[in-house]
Amino acid sequence: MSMFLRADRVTLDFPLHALETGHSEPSADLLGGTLHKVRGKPFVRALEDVSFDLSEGDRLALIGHNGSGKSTLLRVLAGIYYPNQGTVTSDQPVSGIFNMSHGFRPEATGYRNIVLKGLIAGKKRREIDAALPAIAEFTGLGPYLDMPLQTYSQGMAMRLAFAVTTHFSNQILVMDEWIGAGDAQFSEKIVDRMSGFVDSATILVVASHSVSLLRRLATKALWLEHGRIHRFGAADAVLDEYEALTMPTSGPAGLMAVLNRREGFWFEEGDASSPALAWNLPFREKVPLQLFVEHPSRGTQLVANGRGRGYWRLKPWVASGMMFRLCGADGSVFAELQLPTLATPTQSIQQETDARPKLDSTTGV
Amino acid sequence: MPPLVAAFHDWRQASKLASLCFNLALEDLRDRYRKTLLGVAWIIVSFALFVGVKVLVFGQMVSTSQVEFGLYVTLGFGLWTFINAMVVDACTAYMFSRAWILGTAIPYPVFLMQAILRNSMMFALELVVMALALFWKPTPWSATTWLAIPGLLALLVTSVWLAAILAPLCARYRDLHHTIKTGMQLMFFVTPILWMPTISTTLARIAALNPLTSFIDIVREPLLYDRVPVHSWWVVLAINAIGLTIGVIVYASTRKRVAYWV
Repeated sequence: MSMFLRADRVTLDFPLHALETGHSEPSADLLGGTLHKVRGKPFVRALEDVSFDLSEGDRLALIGHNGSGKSTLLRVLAGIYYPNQGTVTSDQPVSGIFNMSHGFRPEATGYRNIVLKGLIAGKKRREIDAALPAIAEFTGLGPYLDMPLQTYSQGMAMRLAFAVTTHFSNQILVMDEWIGAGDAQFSEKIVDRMSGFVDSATILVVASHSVSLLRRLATKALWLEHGRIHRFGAADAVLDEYEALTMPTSGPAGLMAVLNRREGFWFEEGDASSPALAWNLPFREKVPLQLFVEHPSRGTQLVANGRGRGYWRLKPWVASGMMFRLCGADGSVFAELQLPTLATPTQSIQQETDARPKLDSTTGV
Repeated sequence: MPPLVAAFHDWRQASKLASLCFNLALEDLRDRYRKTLLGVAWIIVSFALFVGVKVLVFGQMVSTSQVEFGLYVTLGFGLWTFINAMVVDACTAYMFSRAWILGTAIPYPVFLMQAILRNSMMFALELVVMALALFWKPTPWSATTWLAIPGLLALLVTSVWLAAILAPLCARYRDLHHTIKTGMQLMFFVTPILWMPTISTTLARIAALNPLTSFIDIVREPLLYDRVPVHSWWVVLAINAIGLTIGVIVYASTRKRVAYWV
């Protein structure tokens, strides 16, 4: 039988008392659910009548705002929650990567955690020992693997989690949103590995708020609203529609569209009246950053505060050849750009009423 | 899948993960004593000290020989610690593994076995002290002495159904855990561990009415007096049979909802 992952009319009700006992995890998801009563007991309908059919090579992007049921659906697919109605069927076990703190022992060393993860995946000790060097290398954590996990930074723990989980994972993998949280270098590694799934026979379901990441990965997209399927289809079409709806209406629409398509740090001429610097740093969409300029007379100047995706309208004082730099909070340089010769003299650049440099950050959510 | 079949399937899957259960239990034990000088030897040390002081104090109040009473307390208290831990830990087996239950699709019996193995490991260390104490055994060793081993196996069976029943119920009803913990503290005093039922008729009646007496006797009697307490065995077997049945029912009917409760 060929590979498949199938959801057939999946409906899931959360008992409300579960929330009273401090069940913090899915509660965020329940915001969008509808309340109803079954035999006098209150339930929140987190998923309703969700059906889809994935086969070998399909990579599904799961989108929808907070509380639309993404995490719940992923957990149902991974066999953690059992649907009240409907079924999830697959030809083989489904692996899941969820919250980072889940499934690890903080007091045990990195190595020990790798072994435990391998055992969970049902591997023999021999197979795990054989896999250790490759996993250790992928994490890039070196000697830290001999230290307790609780001494790791969140980014380090994530490296370990991803390396281990994907190494021991089954070929059907569901991932909740956390990919974009690591440093950019490792995030690239992650996308590389996930793109590797394209060649190998796998099914992947990824929930993320990073639409640009999803565009790179996904072939199909499923848009959830209040636990129901709002759209399901080819990734591009659904993601376009999702973005068009969720994008803030401020800012020139043309620039917004460009931001969603392009990555990096570039000069955007736009409609000649409002040239701008635009940037879209993958995996850093929400990371705070600062835009600096090397001013010929005043030295390095802070121009604007913003986030990993945004733009900045050129000010009248901006001249050709000026050096702009996007820096992280720790001062590390993310990207540099020397302003090309401007087609229009800077004086004709539309004056902004705001005296202070203003940054329109468009994080897409 | 019908609930019973699904439950059976869970346990079969979990049995394939025996090595995982063992390693998780081992980590629990290590976590508890990490960064200590004595490490898990603390279990032996604290148990030996507890028993020593108890014998010293309560030994003054009994007419039995100090040696016999000392062994009586050592064996009884060792068994009690095991029984108490398996009841109390059964309550937290799911709650304790909350992060794992929500993060991975591991069959739930793994978490129950983890708790059982963890307690068995601790008990194994206490058994060292108990075995050493047998040096003062008042009666000569005989074939009957070894019938303590099936007694220990019966206790293991008990811990399985206890976990299957208590873990989901305590996750759903949080007060149950505290109720049981308090209940067990009270039970300690009405179980013949620090006193012998032969002292008074009232105590004898209390011991007879308390089913925990039987669970202790099936191991302690053969070791101490080379006797097989037939009546106690019937009580334990009957309770285990009922417990296993209820355990299967509770496990099968709660497995789908555990993830909401933890």
